[in-house]
Amino acid sequence: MKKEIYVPIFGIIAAEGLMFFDKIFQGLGIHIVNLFTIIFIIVFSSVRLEEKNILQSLILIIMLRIVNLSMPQFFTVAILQHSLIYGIMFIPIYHVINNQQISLKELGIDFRKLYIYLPVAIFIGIIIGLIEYKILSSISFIEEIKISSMILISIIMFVFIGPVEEIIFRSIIQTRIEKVFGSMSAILLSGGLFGVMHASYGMINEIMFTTMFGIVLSYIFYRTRNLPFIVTIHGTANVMSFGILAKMLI
Amino acid sequence: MIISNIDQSLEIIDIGGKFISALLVILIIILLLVSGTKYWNRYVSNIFDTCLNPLLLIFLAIVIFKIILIV
Repeated sequence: MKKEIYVPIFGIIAAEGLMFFDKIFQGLGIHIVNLFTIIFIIVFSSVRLEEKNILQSLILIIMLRIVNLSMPQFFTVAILQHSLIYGIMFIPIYHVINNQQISLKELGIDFRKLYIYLPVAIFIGIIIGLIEYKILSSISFIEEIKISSMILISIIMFVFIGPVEEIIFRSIIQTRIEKVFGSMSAILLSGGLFGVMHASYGMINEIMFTTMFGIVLSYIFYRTRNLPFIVTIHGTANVMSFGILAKMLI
Repeated sequence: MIISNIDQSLEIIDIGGKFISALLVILIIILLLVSGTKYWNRYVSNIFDTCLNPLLLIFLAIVIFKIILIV
């Protein structure tokens, strides 16, 4: 792998590693230095277009963390805060898709066979949610299990968090890496980065779980090329883990 | 879910806000320096859009938040 690619990836890992040890601002500083490094490589170096596309995709990960750490807390309800943070991320995602002319097919936006995919995705999501809850013992995002709370958490997970994370890690990063380094590297790297980005939990179990979860989702995406399928798995797992189970099993 | 556990305390917002304000200013300076050179093209312009647009929104959000705190 060329140093122009692995240096920024290492930078992301280093920044998230610092956050793992609760050094939030040092981590943020590394992310910002890394962002400048990527911009300088793209502007001044003579890397190939496919490699520039990978670098631009990595900017999305850095932006997600910067937006997360800088967004003022407008809402006292934590779950609503996520709609602001992830909502803003649709803007850089749009720029990347537009700049790299990524087609809907490449993004995995395909609604065929949903009658098969949706029930399977919900089933897989429930299983993964159970495992995640066992590992993380998640704090609930809802006050109590009632219809309005369930609708709210479902909207946040299925409209904001699931789509944004899956578009970034699977539809964009995985497909960009695939073009340069092949499918296997793309699955492992996108899954690995997904795991690393959960380092701020400060739990090694969570990083290992989310890395495995990321690799599984990347493999499913590689086989199906269906974004709604993996968004449903991700959303269901989060609703289970941070909503239903966290409230029911206290 | 990547961001669930980071404590969004006022202190973090305050320091995070300073970080992104500095980042925004430096990025705009780099943009101005690069935009008149041979390195400037549609791709590079889009890279800056990818970074600057969300940062500008965050900056706006911080300003609004501070005004709300004062009011």
